[in-house]
Amino acid sequence: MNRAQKIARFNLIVVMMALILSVIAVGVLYFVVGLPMQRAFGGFAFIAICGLTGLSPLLYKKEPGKVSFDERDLLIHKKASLGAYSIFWFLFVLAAMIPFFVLGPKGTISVKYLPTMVFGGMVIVILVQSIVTLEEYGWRNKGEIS
Amino acid sequence: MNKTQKGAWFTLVITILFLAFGLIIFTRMFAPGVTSTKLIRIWSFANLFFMTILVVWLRIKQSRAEVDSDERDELIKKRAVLVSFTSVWILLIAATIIPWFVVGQEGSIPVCLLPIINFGVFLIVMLIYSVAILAQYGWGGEKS
Repeated sequence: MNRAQKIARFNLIVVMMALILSVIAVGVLYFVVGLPMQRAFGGFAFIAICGLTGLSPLLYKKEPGKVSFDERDLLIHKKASLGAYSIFWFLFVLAAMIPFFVLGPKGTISVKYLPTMVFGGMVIVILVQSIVTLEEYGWRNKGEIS
Repeated sequence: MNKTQKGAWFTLVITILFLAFGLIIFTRMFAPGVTSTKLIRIWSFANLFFMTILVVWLRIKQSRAEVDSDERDELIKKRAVLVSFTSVWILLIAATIIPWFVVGQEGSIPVCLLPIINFGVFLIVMLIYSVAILAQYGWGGEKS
Protein backbone atom coordinates (compact mmCIF):
# COMPACT_ATOMS: atom_id res chain seq x y z
CA MET A 1 0.00 0.00 0.00
CA ASN A 2 1.28 3.46 -0.81
CA ARG A 3 1.08 6.57 1.39
CA ALA A 4 -2.13 7.94 -0.17
CA GLN A 5 -3.89 4.61 0.34
CA LYS A 6 -2.77 4.40 3.96
CA ILE A 7 -3.99 7.95 4.64
CA ALA A 8 -7.33 7.25 2.91
CA ARG A 9 -7.78 4.02 4.87
CA PHE A 10 -6.94 5.73 8.17
CA ASN A 11 -9.36 8.62 7.45
CA LEU A 12 -12.12 6.23 6.44
CA ILE A 13 -11.74 4.15 9.61
CA VAL A 14 -11.71 7.28 11.81
CA VAL A 15 -14.79 8.83 10.16
CA MET A 16 -16.75 5.58 10.19
CA MET A 17 -15.84 5.01 13.84
CA ALA A 18 -16.97 8.55 14.73
CA LEU A 19 -20.27 8.12 12.89
CA ILE A 20 -21.02 4.68 14.36
CA LEU A 21 -20.15 5.76 17.92
CA SER A 22 -22.30 8.88 17.53
CA VAL A 23 -25.33 6.92 16.35
CA ILE A 24 -24.86 4.36 19.17
CA ALA A 25 -24.49 7.15 21.76
CA VAL A 26 -27.64 8.95 20.56
CA GLY A 27 -29.54 5.65 20.58
CA VAL A 28 -28.35 4.76 24.09
CA LEU A 29 -29.11 8.22 25.48
CA TYR A 30 -32.59 8.22 23.96
CA PHE A 31 -33.77 4.62 24.33
CA VAL A 32 -31.80 3.37 27.35
CA VAL A 33 -31.22 6.47 29.48
CA GLY A 34 -34.54 8.02 28.41
CA LEU A 35 -33.30 11.53 27.69
CA PRO A 36 -35.41 13.74 25.38
CA MET A 37 -34.27 13.64 21.73
CA GLN A 38 -32.87 17.18 21.81
CA ARG A 39 -30.52 16.25 24.69
CA ALA A 40 -29.77 12.80 23.28
CA PHE A 41 -28.31 14.52 20.22
CA GLY A 42 -25.40 15.36 22.53
CA GLY A 43 -24.16 11.91 21.59
CA PHE A 44 -23.02 13.43 18.32
CA ALA A 45 -20.07 14.79 20.32
CA PHE A 46 -18.30 11.62 19.16
CA ILE A 47 -18.03 13.29 15.74
CA ALA A 48 -15.09 15.15 17.30
CA ILE A 49 -13.09 11.97 16.72
CA CYS A 50 -12.96 13.06 13.06
CA GLY A 51 -10.37 15.62 14.17
CA LEU A 52 -7.89 12.72 14.24
CA THR A 53 -7.88 12.75 10.43
CA GLY A 54 -5.66 15.82 10.69
CA LEU A 55 -2.95 13.54 12.12
CA SER A 56 -2.86 11.20 9.12
CA PRO A 57 -0.12 13.08 7.16
CA LEU A 58 2.01 12.98 10.34
CA LEU A 59 1.40 9.29 10.96
CA TYR A 60 2.27 8.37 7.38
CA LYS A 61 5.23 10.60 6.68
CA LYS A 62 6.94 10.96 3.32
CA GLU A 63 10.02 8.82 3.08
CA PRO A 64 13.04 11.01 2.33
CA GLY A 65 14.70 10.36 -0.99
CA LYS A 66 11.73 8.43 -2.38
CA VAL A 67 9.17 9.60 -4.93
CA SER A 68 5.86 9.18 -3.15
CA PHE A 69 3.61 10.96 -5.65
CA ASP A 70 3.59 10.59 -9.44
CA GLU A 71 1.19 11.60 -12.25
CA ARG A 72 -1.12 8.66 -11.56
CA ASP A 73 -1.36 9.53 -7.87
CA LEU A 74 -2.06 13.14 -8.84
CA LEU A 75 -4.86 12.06 -11.17
CA ILE A 76 -6.40 9.86 -8.47
CA HIS A 77 -6.13 12.67 -5.93
CA LYS A 78 -7.78 15.05 -8.41
CA LYS A 79 -10.63 12.60 -9.08
CA ALA A 80 -11.15 12.00 -5.36
CA SER A 81 -11.24 15.73 -4.55
CA LEU A 82 -13.59 16.46 -7.44
CA GLY A 83 -15.93 13.64 -6.41
CA ALA A 84 -15.86 14.69 -2.76
CA TYR A 85 -16.55 18.37 -3.42
CA SER A 86 -19.25 17.61 -6.03
CA ILE A 87 -21.16 15.41 -3.58
CA PHE A 88 -20.57 17.88 -0.75
CA TRP A 89 -21.91 20.79 -2.81
CA PHE A 90 -24.96 18.81 -3.95
CA LEU A 91 -25.82 17.87 -0.35
CA PHE A 92 -25.06 21.39 0.86
CA VAL A 93 -27.52 22.86 -1.67
CA LEU A 94 -30.09 20.24 -0.61
CA ALA A 95 -29.53 21.11 3.07
CA ALA A 96 -30.19 24.74 2.24
CA MET A 97 -33.18 24.20 -0.03
CA ILE A 98 -35.11 21.50 1.88
CA PRO A 99 -35.84 23.74 4.94
CA PHE A 100 -36.74 26.53 2.49
CA PHE A 101 -39.40 24.36 0.87
CA VAL A 102 -40.56 22.67 4.10
CA LEU A 103 -40.86 25.80 6.27
CA GLY A 104 -41.65 28.24 3.46
CA PRO A 105 -39.79 31.47 2.64
CA LYS A 106 -41.16 33.20 5.75
CA GLY A 107 -40.06 30.43 8.12
CA THR A 108 -37.19 30.58 10.58
CA ILE A 109 -34.59 28.03 11.57
CA SER A 110 -32.35 27.68 14.62
CA VAL A 111 -28.88 29.17 14.21
CA LYS A 112 -27.50 25.79 15.36
CA TYR A 113 -28.46 24.33 11.99
CA LEU A 114 -25.60 26.15 10.23
CA PRO A 115 -22.66 24.44 12.01
CA THR A 116 -24.42 21.10 11.50
CA MET A 117 -24.43 21.81 7.76
CA VAL A 118 -20.76 22.82 7.69
CA PHE A 119 -19.36 20.06 9.91
CA GLY A 120 -21.58 17.49 8.21
CA GLY A 121 -20.09 18.73 4.94
CA MET A 122 -16.54 18.29 6.27
CA VAL A 123 -17.29 14.69 7.29
CA ILE A 124 -18.79 13.98 3.85
CA VAL A 125 -15.74 15.42 2.06
CA ILE A 126 -13.32 13.26 4.08
CA LEU A 127 -15.51 10.18 3.69
CA VAL A 128 -16.05 10.48 -0.07
CA GLN A 129 -12.42 11.45 -0.73
CA SER A 130 -11.20 8.37 1.16
CA ILE A 131 -13.68 6.02 -0.54
CA VAL A 132 -12.85 7.33 -4.05
CA THR A 133 -9.09 7.11 -3.35
CA LEU A 134 -9.36 3.52 -2.12
CA GLU A 135 -11.70 2.61 -4.98
CA GLU A 136 -9.26 4.01 -7.55
CA TYR A 137 -6.19 2.29 -6.09
CA GLY A 138 -8.05 -0.83 -5.03
CA TRP A 139 -9.08 -1.62 -1.47
CA ARG A 140 -6.39 -4.24 -0.91
CA ASN A 141 -2.64 -4.26 -1.13
CA LYS A 142 -1.67 -4.80 -4.77
CA GLY A 143 2.02 -4.48 -4.22
CA GLU A 144 2.08 -0.69 -4.40
CA ILE A 145 4.74 0.85 -2.25
CA SER A 146 5.30 4.44 -1.18
CA MET B 1 -4.36 37.02 -23.46
CA ASN B 2 -4.92 33.25 -23.61
CA LYS B 3 -8.13 31.26 -23.18
CA THR B 4 -7.62 30.57 -19.45
CA GLN B 5 -7.10 34.28 -18.74
CA LYS B 6 -10.16 35.21 -20.77
CA GLY B 7 -12.18 32.60 -18.89
CA ALA B 8 -10.96 34.04 -15.60
CA TRP B 9 -11.88 37.60 -16.64
CA PHE B 10 -15.28 36.30 -17.73
CA THR B 11 -15.88 34.65 -14.34
CA LEU B 12 -14.58 37.71 -12.50
CA VAL B 13 -16.87 40.18 -14.28
CA ILE B 14 -19.93 37.94 -14.06
CA THR B 15 -19.44 37.13 -10.37
CA ILE B 16 -18.95 40.82 -9.52
CA LEU B 17 -22.14 41.67 -11.43
CA PHE B 18 -24.10 38.91 -9.70
CA LEU B 19 -22.69 39.78 -6.28
CA ALA B 20 -23.67 43.43 -6.73
CA PHE B 21 -27.08 42.31 -7.97
CA GLY B 22 -27.54 39.99 -5.00
CA LEU B 23 -26.34 42.62 -2.56
CA ILE B 24 -28.90 45.14 -3.84
CA ILE B 25 -31.73 42.60 -3.56
CA PHE B 26 -30.53 41.49 -0.13
CA THR B 27 -30.34 45.02 1.32
CA ARG B 28 -33.79 45.88 -0.04
CA MET B 29 -35.36 42.56 0.96
CA PHE B 30 -35.67 43.51 4.62
CA ALA B 31 -36.54 47.17 4.07
CA PRO B 32 -40.31 47.65 4.44
CA GLY B 33 -42.20 49.29 1.59
CA VAL B 34 -39.25 49.33 -0.83
CA THR B 35 -39.83 47.80 -4.24
CA SER B 36 -37.00 47.59 -6.70
CA THR B 37 -38.60 45.79 -9.65
CA LYS B 38 -37.33 48.34 -12.20
CA LEU B 39 -33.78 48.21 -10.84
CA ILE B 40 -33.80 44.38 -10.81
CA ARG B 41 -35.06 44.35 -14.40
CA ILE B 42 -32.38 46.78 -15.62
CA TRP B 43 -29.64 44.93 -13.74
CA SER B 44 -30.81 41.55 -15.12
CA PHE B 45 -30.65 42.88 -18.68
CA ALA B 46 -27.21 44.40 -17.99
CA ASN B 47 -25.98 41.01 -16.70
CA LEU B 48 -27.32 39.22 -19.76
CA PHE B 49 -25.79 41.84 -22.09
CA PHE B 50 -22.33 41.55 -20.49
CA MET B 51 -22.54 37.75 -20.46
CA THR B 52 -23.30 37.68 -24.20
CA ILE B 53 -20.45 40.07 -25.04
CA LEU B 54 -18.02 38.14 -22.87
CA VAL B 55 -19.01 34.78 -24.38
CA VAL B 56 -18.26 36.16 -27.88
CA TRP B 57 -14.93 37.59 -26.62
CA LEU B 58 -14.11 34.25 -25.02
CA ARG B 59 -14.46 32.45 -28.35
CA ILE B 60 -11.94 34.70 -30.15
CA LYS B 61 -8.48 33.12 -30.26
CA GLN B 62 -5.11 34.93 -30.41
CA SER B 63 -4.26 32.90 -33.48
CA ARG B 64 -5.52 29.80 -35.25
CA ALA B 65 -2.62 27.84 -33.82
CA GLU B 66 -3.43 28.72 -30.20
CA VAL B 67 -3.85 25.62 -28.03
CA ASP B 68 -6.68 25.45 -25.48
CA SER B 69 -4.31 24.91 -22.54
CA ASP B 70 -0.82 23.58 -21.83
CA GLU B 71 0.98 22.23 -18.72
CA ARG B 72 1.58 25.71 -17.32
CA ASP B 73 -2.11 26.59 -17.63
CA GLU B 74 -3.04 23.33 -15.93
CA LEU B 75 -0.66 24.07 -13.05
CA ILE B 76 -2.09 27.58 -12.68
CA LYS B 77 -5.63 26.19 -12.69
CA LYS B 78 -4.66 23.54 -10.14
CA ARG B 79 -3.26 26.15 -7.75
CA ALA B 80 -6.37 28.30 -8.23
CA VAL B 81 -8.61 25.32 -7.43
CA LEU B 82 -6.60 24.66 -4.27
CA VAL B 83 -6.99 28.28 -3.17
CA SER B 84 -10.73 28.22 -3.89
CA PHE B 85 -11.24 24.90 -2.04
CA THR B 86 -9.52 26.40 0.99
CA SER B 87 -11.64 29.52 0.72
CA VAL B 88 -14.84 27.37 0.70
CA TRP B 89 -14.12 26.27 4.27
CA ILE B 90 -13.10 29.72 5.49
CA LEU B 91 -16.28 31.23 4.04
CA LEU B 92 -18.53 28.47 5.36
CA ILE B 93 -17.11 28.70 8.85
CA ALA B 94 -17.51 32.49 8.70
CA ALA B 95 -21.12 32.04 7.51
CA THR B 96 -21.69 29.76 10.50
CA ILE B 97 -20.07 31.94 13.15
CA ILE B 98 -21.41 35.35 12.08
CA PRO B 99 -25.14 34.50 12.65
CA TRP B 100 -24.23 33.05 16.10
CA PHE B 101 -22.79 36.42 17.07
CA VAL B 102 -25.63 38.41 15.48
CA VAL B 103 -28.68 36.54 16.82
CA GLY B 104 -27.13 34.71 19.78
CA GLN B 105 -26.75 31.03 20.58
CA GLU B 106 -30.48 30.39 21.01
CA GLY B 107 -31.61 32.64 18.16
CA SER B 108 -33.00 31.74 14.78
CA ILE B 109 -32.49 33.05 11.25
CA PRO B 110 -34.92 33.41 8.32
CA VAL B 111 -34.86 30.25 6.26
CA CYS B 112 -34.43 32.30 3.07
CA LEU B 113 -30.89 33.11 4.26
CA LEU B 114 -29.75 29.52 3.61
CA PRO B 115 -29.93 29.66 -0.21
CA ILE B 116 -28.45 33.18 -0.04
CA ILE B 117 -25.47 31.82 1.93
CA ASN B 118 -25.23 29.00 -0.58
CA PHE B 119 -25.24 31.20 -3.64
CA GLY B 120 -23.10 33.88 -1.99
CA VAL B 121 -20.40 31.37 -1.05
CA PHE B 122 -20.47 29.95 -4.58
CA LEU B 123 -20.04 33.39 -6.15
CA ILE B 124 -17.23 34.44 -3.79
CA VAL B 125 -15.40 31.16 -4.40
CA MET B 126 -15.67 31.71 -8.16
CA LEU B 127 -14.39 35.25 -7.66
CA ILE B 128 -11.40 33.94 -5.66
CA TYR B 129 -10.74 31.30 -8.33
CA SER B 130 -10.63 33.85 -11.14
CA VAL B 131 -8.53 36.31 -9.11
CA ALA B 132 -6.07 33.48 -8.27
CA ILE B 133 -5.73 32.65 -11.98
CA LEU B 134 -5.29 36.26 -13.04
CA ALA B 135 -2.82 36.97 -10.23
CA GLN B 136 -0.66 34.03 -11.32
CA TYR B 137 -0.63 35.22 -14.93
CA GLY B 138 0.15 38.74 -13.74
CA TRP B 139 -3.24 40.31 -14.67
CA GLY B 140 -1.76 41.73 -17.82
CA GLY B 141 -2.52 41.26 -21.47
CA GLU B 142 1.05 40.24 -22.34
CA LYS B 143 1.15 37.26 -24.68
CA SER B 144 0.91 34.32 -22.31
